[in-house]
Amino acid sequence: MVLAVALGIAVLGVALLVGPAGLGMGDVVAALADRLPFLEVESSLTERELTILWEIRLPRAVMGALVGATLASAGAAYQGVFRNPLADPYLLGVAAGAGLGATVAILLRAKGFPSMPLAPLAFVGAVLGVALSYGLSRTRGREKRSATTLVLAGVAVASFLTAVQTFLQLTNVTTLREVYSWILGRLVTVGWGDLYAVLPYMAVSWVVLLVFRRALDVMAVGDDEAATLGLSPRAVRLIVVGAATLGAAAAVSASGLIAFVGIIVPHTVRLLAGWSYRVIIPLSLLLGGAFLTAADLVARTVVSPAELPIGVVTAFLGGPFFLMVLRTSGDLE
Amino acid sequence: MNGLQLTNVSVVLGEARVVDGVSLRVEEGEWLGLIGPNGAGKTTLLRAIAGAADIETGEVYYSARDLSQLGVRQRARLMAVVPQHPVVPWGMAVADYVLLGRTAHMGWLSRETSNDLDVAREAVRDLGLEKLSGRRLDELSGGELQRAVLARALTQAAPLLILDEPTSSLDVGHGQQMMEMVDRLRREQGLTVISAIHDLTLAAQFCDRLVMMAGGKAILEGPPRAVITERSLRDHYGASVRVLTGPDFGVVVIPLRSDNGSGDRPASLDVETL
Repeated sequence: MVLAVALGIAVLGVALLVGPAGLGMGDVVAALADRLPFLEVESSLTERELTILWEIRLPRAVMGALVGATLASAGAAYQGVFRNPLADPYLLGVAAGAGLGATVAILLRAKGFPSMPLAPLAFVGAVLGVALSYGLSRTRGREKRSATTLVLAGVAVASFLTAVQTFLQLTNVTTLREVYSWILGRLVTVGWGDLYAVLPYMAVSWVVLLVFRRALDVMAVGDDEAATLGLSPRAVRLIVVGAATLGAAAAVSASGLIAFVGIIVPHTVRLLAGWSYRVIIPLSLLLGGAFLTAADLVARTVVSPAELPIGVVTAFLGGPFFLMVLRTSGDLE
Repeated sequence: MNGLQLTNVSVVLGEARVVDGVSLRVEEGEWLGLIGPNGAGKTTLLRAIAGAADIETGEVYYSARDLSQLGVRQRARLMAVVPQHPVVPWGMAVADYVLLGRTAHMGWLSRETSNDLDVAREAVRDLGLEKLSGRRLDELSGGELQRAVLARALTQAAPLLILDEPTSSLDVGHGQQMMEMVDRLRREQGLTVISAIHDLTLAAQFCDRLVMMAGGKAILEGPPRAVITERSLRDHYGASVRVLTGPDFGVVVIPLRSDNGSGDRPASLDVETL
């Protein structure tokens, strides 16, 4: 746990230091320290450099951390309640649903509802996505159902929702640009305002998942046995899926569609720290934050001065990782 | 009214009436065995008592409390279930698994108290699992796993213990040890036990009373010697058996080959004269 916190801080630190405008480490540390209460530290950064640090690099790095933490913990939570090692916000159609919801919100803004908020509609879309995926997977008989059934249903739902979104997008060309840049991931343009807009939803999601982490351990013995142990599996599933979906929708509405974080991080945590969600949820929050900040760092440096969409970086790592989990998922059930 | 009381309980699964108007009573501290051929409805009846199967008609009371009115938590404090095929969570250690039994005694936000840990430790000791408590469940043998599941059930500190075929995956030695353990625990802790049992000889040896089910109905009830008879096993199991009884070994059921040509008819027919 201590290691994970240290790693998170280190990654955040590197993210603040790396960029086209070369800011010295001592200066950055001094500028940060100066913002702390009761500390007066001289930093040799110019106004312009301070603006880069405070208004560009810091919000971007923090947003990366928040989104990563949220997607990773949501992925871990889905894996717990669905008892499915392959569950992930992206693969369950949650992200695609949130994308559709956000697109609708952007269109409504352009059509005379300028104050249409993004996050609530993204949440409605996300709930629609996960409900459809889960519902579809349950139509298959119990004997024939496996870990991959849910994921296949999720892929079908995600494709469908994405198709609807693309249709809306192309029939409303005036807003095409805004939607498109959003889909590719918006960490580039993120400011403190965006951060404050999604933080409450994410925070609710984290708190609920942290509170329910022991319940997720109980869910590991299956619905019937969980009930005889004194836990209502349906209530737990409803609350945990609701919270994870709320967080994932907020993350998607802030940063666009970022895949595989919810698979890579929880499974890495499992390899390092074992089966218990009491450890997996908090560590996924911490390492998810560190992971996505690092991925964003790669995204903006590897083809510098151009930038890769962050979703490309996570998918590049996540694809092979997913195959590995798929190969060993027999052991995880 | 103490103990468990079922009145005219029916369970319908899909189109089939799997449990059909069963009434029975288990006194406090008693061990009632449910026997019957495959598909007789034993497991479904146990699931109905445990709240895992919906009861179509009828009532289940425990210590004058209507179980249909209880939430899952209250129910879990009254009864613990040892399923026939427990789910084995990947990677979980025995000690952690046993602690899951405390779920109904803990708040949403709280962690296990030292009392919870003591209860779990005692259950681990009672079942001789001390050396295995750090081992992963998926690395245990069938008998060890069954003991871990029983330890989890004991940790629930519930007065009623429901066992579904506790010996079905165990060899004769481990099956016997399992039954001995349940018997000792119910005497020491005053538990009321209801269990479905496959092995008729074991059922007769350990249960105070038996109920034979067939076609979803409870058709015979009484002390083992009255329920396990050559006639009842022929009529309801379609089995050709020899049932031996004796003062020092209870009831023994011997299946007979229909083909006598082998010459291996049990020589132990003489035992009757013992």
